[in-house]
Amino acid sequence: MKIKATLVGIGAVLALTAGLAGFSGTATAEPAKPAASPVSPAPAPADQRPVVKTTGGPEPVVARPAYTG
Amino acid sequence: MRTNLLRTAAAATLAFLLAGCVGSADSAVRPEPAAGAGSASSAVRPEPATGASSKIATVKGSRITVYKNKEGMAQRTITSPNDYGAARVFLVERDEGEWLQVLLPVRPNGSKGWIKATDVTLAETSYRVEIDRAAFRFTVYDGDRPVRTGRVATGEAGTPTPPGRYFFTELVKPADPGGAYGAYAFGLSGFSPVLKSFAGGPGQLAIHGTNKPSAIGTRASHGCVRIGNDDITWMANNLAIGTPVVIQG
Repeated sequence: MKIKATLVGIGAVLALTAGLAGFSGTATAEPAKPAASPVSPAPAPADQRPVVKTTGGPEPVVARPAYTG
Repeated sequence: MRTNLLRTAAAATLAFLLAGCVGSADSAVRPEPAAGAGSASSAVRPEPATGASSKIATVKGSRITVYKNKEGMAQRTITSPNDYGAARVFLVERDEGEWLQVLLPVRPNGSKGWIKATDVTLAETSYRVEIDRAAFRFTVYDGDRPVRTGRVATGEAGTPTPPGRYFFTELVKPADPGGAYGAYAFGLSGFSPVLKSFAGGPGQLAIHGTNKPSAIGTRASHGCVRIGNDDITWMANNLAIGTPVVIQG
């Protein structure tokens, strides 16, 4: 009687452990995907737009400045 | 019989503990990605504050509509050229394809608005100017590389030079090169927080030369940043209208 009860107990342990470990594995193997960005992508790729490299030395305006000195 | 029940209960408890350990260990090595983190940056294009190049938008026509948002709510109209006769430019803070968020040369300092990309032409500069008020020093960077540095004078206590992010709005060669503005003056997109008008103007800030080089390294101005005439001449020869200027310290 004691041996039978012990075997039943061990069997229950193994079954429960295997089942719970399986559930855990399934849950973590597929982590929740991040929410999709609410901002839609730029309609026209900015990289493809012509952008000129500036050169220094702009033509100055000859004037009487009125800055805060 | 009681012993059997105890054994079964102990076994079940052990099973729960084992299952808990499996779950904890797995979640510790697989953190959930932060929701939304980084997603916006892949869709929009904020212009970097430092390092890489900056985009400068020059108005094509005689006026441009500035919008409060990308839904097309008009905020104001700005004319071009500006009061000094220079083509109107904006520093691009965000490039989203059809729409550009730009820094505006209006009060309050730091104002931004949206413009349509079709209303401007775009150029790029790798230069930027940084002013350290506490150290009385400017540094011009080409990308991450400092290419010119020198001493500055800043605003007096009652008329301080306000910190912030600005850009050059025009380059003026004073009619009197021996005057207080020195050899050249680069107008800035910012304004004095104290002076609503000055010398017939709207209290606009500038970086300019000087006829009092001995005051450089002190708080001496009404808000402008004064630098040596050699330094402002170098800037006039090398920096474009629209170049970003960061005042800090």
